[in-house]
Amino acid sequence: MTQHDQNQDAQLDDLFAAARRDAPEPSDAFMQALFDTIPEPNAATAVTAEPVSQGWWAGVRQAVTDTFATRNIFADVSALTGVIAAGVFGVWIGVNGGDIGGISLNPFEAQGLDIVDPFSGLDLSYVDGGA
Amino acid sequence: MVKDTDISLGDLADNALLVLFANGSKPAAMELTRRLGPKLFRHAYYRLQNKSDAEDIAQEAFLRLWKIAPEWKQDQAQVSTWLYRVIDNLCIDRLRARRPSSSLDDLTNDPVDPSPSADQSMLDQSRALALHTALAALPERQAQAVRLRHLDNLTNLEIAQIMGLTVEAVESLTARGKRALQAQLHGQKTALGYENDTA
Repeated sequence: MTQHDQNQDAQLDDLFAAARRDAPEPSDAFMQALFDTIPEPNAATAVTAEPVSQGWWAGVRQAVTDTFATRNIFADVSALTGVIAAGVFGVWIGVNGGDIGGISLNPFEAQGLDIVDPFSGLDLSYVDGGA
Repeated sequence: MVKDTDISLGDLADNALLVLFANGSKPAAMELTRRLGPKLFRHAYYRLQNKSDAEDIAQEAFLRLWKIAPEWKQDQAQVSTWLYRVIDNLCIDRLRARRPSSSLDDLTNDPVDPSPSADQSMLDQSRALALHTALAALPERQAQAVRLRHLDNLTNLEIAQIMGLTVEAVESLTARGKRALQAQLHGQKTALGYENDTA
């Protein structure tokens, strides 16, 4: 930028400053007139501003936060842990055929008894009419 | 005595004040008026060069703001941006309806200031008149960008939001506007108190 350009810019800036100084200050009467434009607030028209829109993940995060914020988080975690432990234990029993460390969960088998159905022919006797 | 509520309202953003007003707080609306009223009045004055018209326009803009407040959305726009747009549109309407010589009438009707600073005041008046006349000869968008940047002292980002342009477009508009102003005012240097290329 040449000296001539700088002078031109400075003169223009000076004109802007002069125009700002020349502008009148708003009078007290005008400010009062502006205040008078404010209507009495009407509770019936009261609204809640819509929040600034968020992304999908922000919505999920907010939902999780809200859920835990309104509950006893320790009670929830404890209950959830119990349910999971019971489920895992059940699966383990199924896989091991009811044998836990050499102890059978079958009460008859544990006592060394052979299980015999004492009424094995009963269902057929009903079919035959009780003969 | 300053109340706690006054301090907290002063810390709030314009949009928050408007939402508070919409929910029943008149002090919030008064704070917003106190904050933006003088700026908007001057903005209208720079455009219209008439104090009475500028006051009317500013009042009309605030009336419209209170009317729209219940439907205002926080992410819609800045309150000040919205008001500057309304003021600009109202000024355009007023200028269309006005006779061409009224701004000159305004200046000649001002009382003579007998104070020691009267010379400076008269010089400011003549320079301001020359500037406003030159601005009026520019394309509307150029003049608007230059006024917002150099008279209202807004940032390029604020101007971009008001005019619905990119920041780069605003920079281009103001640069072209300033060059056009310099070209127009070149022949008036002596009359405006500038000599030998010095400010």
